[in-house]
Amino acid sequence: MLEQYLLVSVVLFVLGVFGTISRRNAVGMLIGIELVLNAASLSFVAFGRYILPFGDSPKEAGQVVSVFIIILAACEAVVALTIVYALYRLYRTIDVDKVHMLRQ
Amino acid sequence: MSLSELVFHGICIMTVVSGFYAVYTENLVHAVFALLATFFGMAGLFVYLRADFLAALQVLVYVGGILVLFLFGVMFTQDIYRLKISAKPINRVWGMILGVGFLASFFWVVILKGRFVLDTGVGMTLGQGVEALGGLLLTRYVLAFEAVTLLIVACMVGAILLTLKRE
Repeated sequence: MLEQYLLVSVVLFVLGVFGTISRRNAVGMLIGIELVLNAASLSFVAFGRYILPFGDSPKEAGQVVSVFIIILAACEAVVALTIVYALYRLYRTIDVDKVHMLRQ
Repeated sequence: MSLSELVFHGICIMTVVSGFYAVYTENLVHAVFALLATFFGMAGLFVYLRADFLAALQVLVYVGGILVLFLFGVMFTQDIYRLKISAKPINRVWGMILGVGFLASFFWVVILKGRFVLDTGVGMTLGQGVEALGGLLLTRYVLAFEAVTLLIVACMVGAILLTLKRE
């Protein structure tokens, strides 16, 4: 069972890396980053569920890490999309190859 | 194969296929909707992992918040009729190389070399982990919890400052 969750997680991680690298559109890259974060969160929960507790670590430690990942992903999305809007207002494009500065 | 296993495999396939579509399609609106299916699939997997609170959080934060933000971002910054993403072939090649490399190394580490001491998780039922999770957040991990709240405030202030029109 654990292997199957890890397989889904690995495939999502690789897809996210591929999306982040292959896209030049800033929002498209963010989609890839969200996939990577989701994959990490899934593997944390899967390990926490199936691996015996290590030392004095509690059984729900994996879920705690996952909660923090979700919060950080939300913060990251907000700030990154705000930067995308600021760039769009300045350059009228969000192609990351054509954008160099946040203000003129 | 029981019904529960069948649904599990279906969720796995849906998650992976829609994730693939999300990174591969050239239409960003389609990509965001494919991402919606991926996030719902992740929530389903969390339910199968007995992490029902996380499943609810996933639906609330990702589907309710981040996806709407993404959709807003896509539709705000792009003319709806020229949504083509300029993906240079060289980028695709680098992405493929890195992706296949990652996949191979993960397979090697996790599937071939992995020796995990498995816990069968007997006795865990839905709805039991929430109390323990809340207790942990307010005792053992309270410093990280407070740091994250500070980060959220910083994010809000930063977002407002960045979009503010300076005259």
